[in-house]
Amino acid sequence: MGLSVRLKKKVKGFSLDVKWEIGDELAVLFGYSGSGKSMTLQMITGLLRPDEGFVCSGGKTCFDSSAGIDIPPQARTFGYVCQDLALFPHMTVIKNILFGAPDVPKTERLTRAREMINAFKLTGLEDRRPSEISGGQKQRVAFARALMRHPEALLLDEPFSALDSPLRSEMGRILREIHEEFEIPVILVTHDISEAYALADRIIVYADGRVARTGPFHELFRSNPGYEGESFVRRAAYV
Amino acid sequence: MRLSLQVASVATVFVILAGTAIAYVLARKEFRGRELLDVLFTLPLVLPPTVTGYYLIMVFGRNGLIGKMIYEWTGFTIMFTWYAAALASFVVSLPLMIKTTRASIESVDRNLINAAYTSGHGEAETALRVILPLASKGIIAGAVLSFARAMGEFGATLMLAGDIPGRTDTMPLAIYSVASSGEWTQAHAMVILLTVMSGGFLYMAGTFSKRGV
Repeated sequence: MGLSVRLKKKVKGFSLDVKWEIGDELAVLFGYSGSGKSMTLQMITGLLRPDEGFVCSGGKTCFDSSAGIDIPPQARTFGYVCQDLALFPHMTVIKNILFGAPDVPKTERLTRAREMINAFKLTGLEDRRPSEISGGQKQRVAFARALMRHPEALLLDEPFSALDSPLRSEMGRILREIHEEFEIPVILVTHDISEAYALADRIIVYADGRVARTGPFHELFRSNPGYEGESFVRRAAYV
Repeated sequence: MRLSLQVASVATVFVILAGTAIAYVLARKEFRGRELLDVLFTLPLVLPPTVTGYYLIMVFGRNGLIGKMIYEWTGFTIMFTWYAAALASFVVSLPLMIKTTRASIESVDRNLINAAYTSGHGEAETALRVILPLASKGIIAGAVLSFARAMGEFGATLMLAGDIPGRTDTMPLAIYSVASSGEWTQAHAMVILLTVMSGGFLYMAGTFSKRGV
């Protein structure tokens, strides 16, 4: 399994050129704002087309510019949670969750949704709209919806940024549990070094549209205290 | 009154169907000539209704581009029928529907549309279950405005359908007739009725666009 990407994209005043590969681990994309982290996730999901490169997940190719392969986002099975969560305001919690698995038969879909409701402690909130639940509950609904299709990988674009510290820790714990349960690659974009430290099996440091460093968090930043990446990450953490 | 409601209702049904589809394409698809197409559909909003009526005669009249073919095949001409009144109302009220609906579709949060795609939904399902429901306020407001405009249509209708008592004399045409012949009491009553109705529709459109349904 795992996920490997090679992505090149030029937009006005910015150029992204990255290559990395992860296994079924929890990887953190870390770097300054505007270093290309969110753009990377959008290209993996198919929402943004790279100029050049490839996206391979679980041995399947979703995008390959040289082979002319470009599977549309709806046909790629990635779970994607963006910063503002994007819960559908006109749907209830249960309908938001059910919406996450259109290609699953109805009875199976209902069973999965029930499991998600229980697993994410959303019982009793099924008929509420997103505007009627708390920030933490919204996070859990977004995660449940993203996992409904049993995705090949889970891509999270700073989903915890709007939460206060205790809720962030709680969601971090939930994320760890999800990772252990589903055994899929999880990629988390974050600015928060303590979050990266608490969650990352592997950290991929972005700087100016390039991969500056990659490796296990401890190996990269703890065993080499003088390592230039550490100061970069520390500086980035205070941006 | 009954004829006016009939003409406006039929025109509005077609305006909702065509207007929503056109607005969706203009709002969501990028293609060469998109803004030119928008200008073309918006023209009846700014052209004198007689000019719009003139174009309609050129297209749907007995010797018109399409009208001639229809007449040769079926012996039917739309001229001077209530269908012509409905067609004229449709053409002049369509821009209101397109403008309102397009703005409403364009204002749907891009992240929600992306969330639908990454959840496995294609273009059609995303449109029907996410984009159009979230744009419903604007669509309903556009439909109400279009209905009000269709109720008040005069110039293009007169050109295409004429003013035939009992067949094509919608309220605006009837007001013109009775006022021309000095029947002021009847004219007053119809003018007040049309004013109150139009005011009511504008109020409804405003309410829908703010609160939705």
